Amino acid sequence: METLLSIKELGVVYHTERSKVYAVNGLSLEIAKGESLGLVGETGAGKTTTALAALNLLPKSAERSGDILYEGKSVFHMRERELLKLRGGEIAMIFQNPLTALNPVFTVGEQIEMVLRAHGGGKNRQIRERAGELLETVGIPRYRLKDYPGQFSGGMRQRVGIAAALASSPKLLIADEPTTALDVTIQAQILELMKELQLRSNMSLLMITHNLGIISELCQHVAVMYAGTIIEYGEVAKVFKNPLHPYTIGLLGALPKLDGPRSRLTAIPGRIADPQNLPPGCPFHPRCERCQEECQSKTPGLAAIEEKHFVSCHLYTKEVRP
Amino acid sequence: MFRYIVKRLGQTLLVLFCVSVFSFFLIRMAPGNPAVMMLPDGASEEAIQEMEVRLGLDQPLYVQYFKYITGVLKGDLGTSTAYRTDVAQIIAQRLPNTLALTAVTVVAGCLFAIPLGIIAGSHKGTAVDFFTMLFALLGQSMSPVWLAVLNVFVFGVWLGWLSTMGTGSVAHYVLPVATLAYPMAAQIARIGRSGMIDTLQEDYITATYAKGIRRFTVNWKYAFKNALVPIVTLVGMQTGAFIAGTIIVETVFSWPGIGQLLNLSVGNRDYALVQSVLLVSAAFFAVINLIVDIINSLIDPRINLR
Repeated sequence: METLLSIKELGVVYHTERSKVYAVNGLSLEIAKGESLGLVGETGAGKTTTALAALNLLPKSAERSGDILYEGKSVFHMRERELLKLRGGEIAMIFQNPLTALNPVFTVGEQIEMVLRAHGGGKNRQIRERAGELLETVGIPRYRLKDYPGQFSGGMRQRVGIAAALASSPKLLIADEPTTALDVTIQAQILELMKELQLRSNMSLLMITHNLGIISELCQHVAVMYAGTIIEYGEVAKVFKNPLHPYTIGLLGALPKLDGPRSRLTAIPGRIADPQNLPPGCPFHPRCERCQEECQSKTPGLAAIEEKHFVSCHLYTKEVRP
Repeated sequence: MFRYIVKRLGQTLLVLFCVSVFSFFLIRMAPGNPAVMMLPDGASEEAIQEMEVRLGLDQPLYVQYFKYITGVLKGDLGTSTAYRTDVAQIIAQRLPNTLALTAVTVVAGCLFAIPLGIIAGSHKGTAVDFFTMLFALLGQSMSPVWLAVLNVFVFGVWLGWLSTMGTGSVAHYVLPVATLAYPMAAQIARIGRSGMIDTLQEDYITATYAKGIRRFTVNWKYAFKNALVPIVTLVGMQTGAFIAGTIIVETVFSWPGIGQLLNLSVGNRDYALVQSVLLVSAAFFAVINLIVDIINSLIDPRINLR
């Protein structure tokens, strides 16, 4: 399949007054046209930073390395005009917290219409008409266009966010934990809606989440992220049935199961690696039960274990290359 | 909305009543006697007493207040002891001068300071920002008295460019407006800047950029509206303050407005005039506050008028 977005060895370092924060460290990833890819990881793994980098929206204090190609063109080297077309037009984003992602002093209609005006334009009446259609697509009656975000619930606001993201028919939708701030029943509705819309419009989806259930619902491929890099990647079924990296095994072990004998949930010991002070070698080694000497000094690379299943762990590279 | 306005106007009446009480008693607590001020120097004790009776100053305070307030309610603000004419007439003559000065000052200050604050806030850390903050720091540190005298000295006396006395031409506006507008502009620029800095950190601004909106539009349309509420509040308060008390500037520049009038009438112990000037200023202040609240509720729908 044709590659739409390709992230190559992305590195992002935030410079604060006192220290450097290594948010993303050599992350590589590809998303094909029409594909939906899940990006999983704990809070602080660098997921949102990766998403913002794809839109070239990192703050000035961020130091970037590597590259991100959209349809073969470097996002980092695009001109302002190309970027304006890319953002919202080619790649749209849904934000984590619907309560803060809509401007409180503009109507929801305006927040959808601004996308339409920026990408395509047209007469005011047509734009208004189209905004009404979009709102109806996400299950909100058209007459609410003139209401302000404060008059909507969290779930409704996230629907507005989705409507605005879809306004310009983007080729890639980046959803940054779109349901984290919502309660469970609303989560299900939003996911159902996104699944339906993705299938209908054949757009690619990058679903960023820490919820493995969402990935198995929505995605074909999954990339597991730890300390700003991908540690395991593959088809969802393969990764979930046969997780290889001790971190992925730990993540899946921390989920309760409904069937089979009841067993204790296992937690991964320790805390997520501190991006201001990353451990040498494999960033997961201080928490890893199967840590070896090599892991403490040498950083493992992503290696194919079976078809469409990659892992970055010394345990497996040894087995492959004796 | 209509009910809210009616309610607020009702509250305003209560405020004005309090102002009438305070101004009435405060001016009477000041040493001095209007009867003495009205008579030539060295007038006899009898003449003074006779004048006090004529002015009604011999009656108990509550009776005097009752007479005053019933007069006000009937539309009679009383008679000035110093000018020997109707107070309402004097104020009506002077008020347009103060209103004109205020209007020019506020418009000039806003036109200059709001864009400056927005630019500084959206270019935090740049040279524009640095000079804006320097400008604001100076404006807020200088006492208006000193600034007024400095302006008179430099532009009026030293360079001789501008007239420093009275009204009449556009040139007459320059120095008083500059003196009033500079500290005001400094404050507006500062609050506009900090409002922009706060707003630009919000998620919804990142979200707006992610929609492919130009930086200029983000700053001047989508962030600006969020930063506007504190600016409007500040401008309202300053407008009210200008109408009520540009005493220093009007006195220094001999501007025949009600600030200067208030200064003169306090000196003359012109009770009726002092009371009325304060009452009129308070009424303006209250109405401006109401307008500010209405404007802010139109800008930000989260502000509920209740």
